[in-house]
Amino acid sequence: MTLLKPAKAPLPEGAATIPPGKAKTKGKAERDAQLGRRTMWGPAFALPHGLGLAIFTLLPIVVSLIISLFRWPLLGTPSFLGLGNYQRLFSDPIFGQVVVNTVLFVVLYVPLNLVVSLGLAAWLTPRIKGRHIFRVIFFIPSITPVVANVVVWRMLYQPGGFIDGTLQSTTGISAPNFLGDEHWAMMAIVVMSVWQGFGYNMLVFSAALDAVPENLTEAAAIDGANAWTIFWRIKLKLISPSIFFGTMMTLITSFQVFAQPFILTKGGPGSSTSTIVLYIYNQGFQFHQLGLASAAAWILFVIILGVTAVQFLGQKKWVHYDA
Amino acid sequence: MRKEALVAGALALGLIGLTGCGGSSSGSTADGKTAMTWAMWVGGTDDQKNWEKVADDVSNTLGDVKITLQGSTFQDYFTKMSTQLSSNTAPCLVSVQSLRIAQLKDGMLPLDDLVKKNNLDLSAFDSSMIKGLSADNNLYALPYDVGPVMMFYNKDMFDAAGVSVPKAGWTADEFVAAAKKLSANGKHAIAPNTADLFVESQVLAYNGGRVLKEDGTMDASDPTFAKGLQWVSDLTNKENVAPQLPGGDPAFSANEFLAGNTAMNIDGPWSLLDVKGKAKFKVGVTTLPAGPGGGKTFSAGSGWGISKQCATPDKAFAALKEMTGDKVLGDLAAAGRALAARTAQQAKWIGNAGIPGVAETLKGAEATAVPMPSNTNSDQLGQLFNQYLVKSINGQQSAADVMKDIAAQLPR
Repeated sequence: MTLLKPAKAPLPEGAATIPPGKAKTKGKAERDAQLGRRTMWGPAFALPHGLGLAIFTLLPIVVSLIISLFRWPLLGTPSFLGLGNYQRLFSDPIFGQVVVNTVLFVVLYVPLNLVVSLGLAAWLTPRIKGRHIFRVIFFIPSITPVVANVVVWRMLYQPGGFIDGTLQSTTGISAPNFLGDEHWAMMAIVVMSVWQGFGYNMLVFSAALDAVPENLTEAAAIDGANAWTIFWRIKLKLISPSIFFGTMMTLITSFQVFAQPFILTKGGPGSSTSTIVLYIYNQGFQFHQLGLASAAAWILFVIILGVTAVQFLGQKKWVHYDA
Repeated sequence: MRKEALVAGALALGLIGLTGCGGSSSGSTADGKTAMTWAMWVGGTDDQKNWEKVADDVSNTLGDVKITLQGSTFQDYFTKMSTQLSSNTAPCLVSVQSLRIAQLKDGMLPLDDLVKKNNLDLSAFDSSMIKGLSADNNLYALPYDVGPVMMFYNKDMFDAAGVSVPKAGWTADEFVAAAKKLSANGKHAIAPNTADLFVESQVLAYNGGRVLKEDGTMDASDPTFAKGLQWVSDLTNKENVAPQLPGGDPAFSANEFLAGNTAMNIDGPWSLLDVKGKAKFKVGVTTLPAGPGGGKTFSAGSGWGISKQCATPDKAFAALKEMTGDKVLGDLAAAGRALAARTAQQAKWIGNAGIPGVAETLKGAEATAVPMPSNTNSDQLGQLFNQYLVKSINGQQSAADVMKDIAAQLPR
C-alpha cells in the first residue's frame, strides 16, 4: 500500500482543492488521483468514524476480555483469576439454566416470529385494500418502547387481568397465573415478544415480496401453477435473501433478550425466565462482579458468533441471490 | 494501515486517560471558600430544590464552604457512587442508606475520630440508626432520617367491613382474623411484597426469624425464617387473604393498596406522606402483626458521610454536623420530607403527618425496632427474593425449599 503518512508529510492547508491554474505545479497529486492511488483524504474522512469505532467499540471489547480474566469488583482492587470466571460459569448450575432458558426462548421465538411475519407479509399483497394501514398497525408494536408494551401485557396476563377476567366471565374457568407460574412464564414472555417483534421482519418480507418480478409469477400461472405453488416454489425462493437476513438478525437479537424478563418477571419465578443478558446485568450492575459479567458476555458472544457462522455456512443450500 | 490504527489507538487511549481525570472531590471557589460536592438521590424537581436549599443553608451558616448538590435518581445512585468511589472521582459528601453501608464503606471515611474531636453528641440521634450506619464498629455516616417498617391500612375498608382498626402492638392472630373479614368480593386484606426489607420485617415481627443476623452475617438457610416465610406464603395459599403474585413486580403490593384492592400494605414512614397524598381513602398506620417469638421490626434510614477521597475532611465534617443538626433536620421533618433521625425533632414530622396511629406506632416501634444489618450480599439476596419468593407465595414450592435454593446461590 502506498500511503501518505500524515505525521511525516502533512499537506499544506488547502491542498484538497487544486486550483485549475496551478494544476501543473501539483502534477504529482493529480497523477496519483488519476491512477487511483490513495491520498490521505480517504483515511482522513474515515478517521472520525474510525476513532469512534476504536474508542466506543474495539477498546471496550478488548477491555471486557481483559476484565473477564479478573475478579473485578466495582469497589475494591481487582485480582487476576485467569480463566477462573469461565470455570465458575461452566460449573454453575444457575448459569447453565440461564443458557438453557435463552436457547429455549430463541428456539420458540425465532420460528414463531418468522412464521407470523412471513404469513402477514404474504397476506398483505397489493390486492388487500388498505394494506398500508395494516402495515402501519402491525409495525406499531415494534416502534413503541418495550417498557410500555410490557406494562400493557402485564395487565393482560395478571390474575384478574384481561385474559383471566374474560375467561372467567365467559367460561367460568380462571386462567393460569401466566407470569407467576414457572411453567407458563417463559411461554408468556415469548408470546409477548413475538407480538412486539414481528413488525420489522414483516416490513422487510413485504417489501421483498413486492419486488418479485411479476413476469415470473405470471409465467408460472400460465403454466398452471396455483397460488400456493407460486408462493412456495417461486416467491419464497426469490425472497430467500431477505428471509436469511431476517432470520439472522432475529436470532442475534433474540439471544440478547433482556427487557421483557427484566420488567415482567425479574427472571423468576425461580430462574425460569433468567436469560444470559439478564444474568450479565445482574452480575455486573446489581452484584458489581464485573469480571464474571464480562466472562458471561464473552460466552454469549461466542454463542452468537457460532450460530451466525453456522447460518452463513448453511445459507448456500437455500439462499438464492440471483433472481 | 497499521500505523494509522496505532495512531488511532494511541489517541483513543489518550482521550480515555483524560476523561478519567475529570471531577475532583474538593477545591476552592473564586472567593476563597472550600468547594465540595454532595451526592444525593433526588426524586424530582421538588426534591432537588429541597436538597439544594439544604446545601445553600448549610453553606451560608458555615460561611467558608460552598456545597454543590450532585443529584441522581435513587435507582442509579448506588451504582454511580460505587463507580465514583472506585475511580477516585467521588464527591466529598456521600449519601448512604443504612441497608447499603457494607457496599460503600470501603470508600468512606470512618467518622469516629471526627465525632470525638468535635464533641458531637450521638445520643441525640435514634440509636438504631447510629447502629445501622456503622460497620466493623466504625460509624460511617450521620443519620438524617429513620424509619421503622410499619403496616399502612385503608381505614375506609376497615370501616366498611365492620372491623375495628388495628392498634399498635396487635398480634398475628388478630391480624389473620381481621384479614379474613376484609377479604371478600375480589378484595384482599394484603398483597404479598417480596422486597427484602419488608418481607424480612414481616417475618421478624411474626416469629423473630432472620436471614441477616445481628452481627451482619447472612444465613439464608435459617429454619425459623423459613417457617415465618411459610406463614407469609400461607396468607395467599391457605388463608386466602392475599392474592397471588403476578410475576416480579416490586410495586405490586403498593399499587394494589393505592388502588383500593387491598386493605393493608407494609411500608416505611418515608413513603407515608406520599401515600397519604395519592390515596383516595383515609390512611392509618400501625405496627406489624406480632406472632409468638416475634414482635420486633426492622428499621432503615439514611445518612450522610465523607468519602475517603475528600481532601478537606474537617470542613466536610463541619458541614455534616450542620446538615444533621437540629435546624436542618427540624425543617425537613416539619416539611414532611424525612422523619428526623434526631429524636427531638420527630414530633414536628408526626404533627405534620396528621395520620391516625402515627405517634403510637412510632413509639411502639422505637422500643422494638432493630436496625436492618447491611451485608455485601444484600443486593444479591434482594434480587433472589424477587425471583424466588414468587414460588413460595404462589404455592409452587415450600418456603423451606425456596430458601434452600436461595441459600445455594449466595456466595459463601
